[in-house]
Amino acid sequence: MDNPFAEGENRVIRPPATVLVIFGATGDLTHRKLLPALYNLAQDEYLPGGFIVIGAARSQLSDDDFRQKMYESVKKFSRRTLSEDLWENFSKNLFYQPIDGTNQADFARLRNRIEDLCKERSENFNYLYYLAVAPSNFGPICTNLNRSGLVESTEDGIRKTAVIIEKPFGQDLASAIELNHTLRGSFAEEQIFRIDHYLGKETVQNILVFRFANGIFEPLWNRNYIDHIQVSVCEHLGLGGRAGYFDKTGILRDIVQNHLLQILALLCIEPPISLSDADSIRDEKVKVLKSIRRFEEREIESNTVRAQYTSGSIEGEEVPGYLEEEGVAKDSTTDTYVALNLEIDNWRWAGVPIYVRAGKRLPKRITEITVYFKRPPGALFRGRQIIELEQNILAIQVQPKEGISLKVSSKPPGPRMRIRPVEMDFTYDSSFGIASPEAYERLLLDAMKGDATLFTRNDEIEESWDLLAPVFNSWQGSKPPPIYTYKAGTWGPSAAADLLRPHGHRWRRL
Amino acid sequence: MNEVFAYTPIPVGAIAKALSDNMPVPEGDEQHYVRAANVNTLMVVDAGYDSDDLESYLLTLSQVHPNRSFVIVIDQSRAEIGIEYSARCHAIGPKEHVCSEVIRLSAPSSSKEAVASIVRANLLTGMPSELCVYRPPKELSLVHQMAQLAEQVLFSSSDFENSLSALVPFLQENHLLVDLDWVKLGIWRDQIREVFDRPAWAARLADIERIEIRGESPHKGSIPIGALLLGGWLANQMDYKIVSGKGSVFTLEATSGKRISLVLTGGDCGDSSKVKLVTLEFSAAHGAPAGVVNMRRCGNGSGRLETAVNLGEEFRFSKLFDDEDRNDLIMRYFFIGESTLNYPKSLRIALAFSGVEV
Repeated sequence: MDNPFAEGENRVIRPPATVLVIFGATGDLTHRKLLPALYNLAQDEYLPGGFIVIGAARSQLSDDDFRQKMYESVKKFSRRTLSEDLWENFSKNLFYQPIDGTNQADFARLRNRIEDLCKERSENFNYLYYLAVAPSNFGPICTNLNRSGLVESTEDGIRKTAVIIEKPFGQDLASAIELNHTLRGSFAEEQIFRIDHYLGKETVQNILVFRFANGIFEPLWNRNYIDHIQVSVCEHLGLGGRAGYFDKTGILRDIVQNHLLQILALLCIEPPISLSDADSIRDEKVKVLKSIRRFEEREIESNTVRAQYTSGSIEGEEVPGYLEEEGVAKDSTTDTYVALNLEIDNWRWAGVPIYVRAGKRLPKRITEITVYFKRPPGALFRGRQIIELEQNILAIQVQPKEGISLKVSSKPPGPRMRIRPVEMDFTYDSSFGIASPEAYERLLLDAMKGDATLFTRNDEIEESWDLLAPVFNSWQGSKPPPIYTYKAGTWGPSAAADLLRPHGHRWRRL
Repeated sequence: MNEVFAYTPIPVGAIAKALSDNMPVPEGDEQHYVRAANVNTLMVVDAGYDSDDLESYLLTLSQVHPNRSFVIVIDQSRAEIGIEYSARCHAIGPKEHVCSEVIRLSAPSSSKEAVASIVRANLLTGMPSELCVYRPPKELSLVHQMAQLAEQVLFSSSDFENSLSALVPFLQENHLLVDLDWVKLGIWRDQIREVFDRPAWAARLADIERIEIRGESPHKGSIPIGALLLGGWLANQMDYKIVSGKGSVFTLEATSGKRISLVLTGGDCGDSSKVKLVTLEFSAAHGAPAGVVNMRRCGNGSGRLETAVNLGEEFRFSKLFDDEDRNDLIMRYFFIGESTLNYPKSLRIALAFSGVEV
């Protein structure tokens, strides 16, 4: 029988009772992002009635030690001021279990701990594991979870179990396939949630609403009206203590392979058949990634630019060059800046250049998608000192200020026919009066609900690596393209501007 | 930090200019103030209103959605309409503030046509309008006049407990009604829904013969609006019609002909002046163990909604919740959301329980 009390009620559906085990509970991600996100979810009453967090790491801590550490983290990093009353209730659900990811006996103890805690609450809990650890630990932890009976099969399990992993999802196509293989040894694909925090950002989710809930844009969203697209992920920071990781990775792997291609895929997908099942959207994203034309080796140099920053000045402060950074090899060829000229070779987008760039030590932190529409015919305005009409530009800013602006041409007051661009702006905080929640809040909540829409599927990962494989091969080949340099605090090497020049385009000044 | 700019008197003809001029920021202030609005807000209050309380209400509205507010003060001592301009700003960054404009019009109720014409001329073009019934004035004609300019009415039905018939015009117009007492009931409705999400328990709904809702009310002997609304919602969701009843006991009938009794009573849980629901009890046939009992702990401040279920198997669960004030409920409605789809029908039935015809 249907529940008559559900009809017409759109209350927030809270996730079912969940035990969240965070591996790497003493690490930076847990302190800065995960616990503050969970605390804010508790404040918004989005957490289920039955909710237990077990922090797991090598350190020997008591529950109280862990709670105290998390208290300090939430106080420091939460987007909202910590309320002592709320913390008192919230922290009752925090526990700690020391664990060595390679020691199966520790997992037996973890299982006992989970079962004891669940028994006390007399509720049936789902188990969710967050692996906030280095990728080399994914395999041993997943295997030990499985061997200890902490992973239910998807068919007949009395509870749902799932695992969340953080990037990097491999270093290249082969290692990504191997990682997927390792994870699939313990979890089914629908139990694996690969987190890309960009997908939890409001503006990124708003791309779909913007495209498919507004009648005026979707008819223009194709090669007939769009001249070109730019996606820029710019950071003003350098390595921030991650030199060891970054020097082995580079910006193409760190940003482009995941965040940037995910944004691009969402921007360019065909309308999915549904927004309410995860695979509809992910199927469409895979089609976009498959459609991006792979470079031939001879095309790499004319369609890609890689560079490293040299010393310079950012916001008035002198900063060292990349090769002078602590922890970076003096002969490192790691890319700190990359620009690519891509083309989606399908019916909707063929012939529309898509320029993407990502870099460190650029003048400011900004992530923006910019859609340039084709110029209208200018015949009406010829002979009036107007050489060329401006393009309409739609800019979707993902960070730091989430919002959208549209540049249109307008006539300034006065007897002369002049045309000046004006911008129509929408920003989240001034339109909705509040700052957007942190991406991790949305993603943790979705994972608890079992909704994988905003998580990356294995084939998306593999397609992204496949797309970039020719670039990596070329960079590592016998005749690699040059590594340009740019001064820290500038918008990248001049070669990046040259990438666009033959098409009559230039990078947007951000 | 919140910033409240003082009211500045302006003549009628200068409203448009005041609204288009730059923000009157304090001299030497290095803060950046952005005037924003995505809704027009209309309010009608009696002269002598509690200004601190209204300020806090305006700031709350400004935070949920920057707006252009028209605060109409009914002041029978005035011979002509007085107009003042002000703004309420809240910080969105270290040096950035978003500001909502406030236009305060003071006028006798006899000037309602003139007031309406001023408001109509200065509403933000293309933006929706909401009437916020904040502490309703004694004379409601101006409120209903303003309702005609609005698409949405935000109010608390408990403000109308002594005159529920005043809600009828809102139902008759094609407004989106946001009743903060309905928002407050969300946690009850949610818990009832969750209980009957279990198919085995939903099947037992057919066995229910009696529902009792007890509520506290500051008006001795009267049934609090929360109880009426919850009763209206239960009847609507279960598709029962009122066939007889008066006072506190009603007989409801389903289309199948099955009848149940609904009992609405005042509670006896201390002498709190706040209107609260105390107990909701479903009972199965022959006085058998209660089908479902929802119980809220008495007392002020944070509480616990406890649900005990006995439908073949026993189950108990509870949820902490805060006793939310008006501003908390506004925040909850706009930030977390609350379905109002079932509200108009539930209110109609609630009014029928009170003998008010729509």
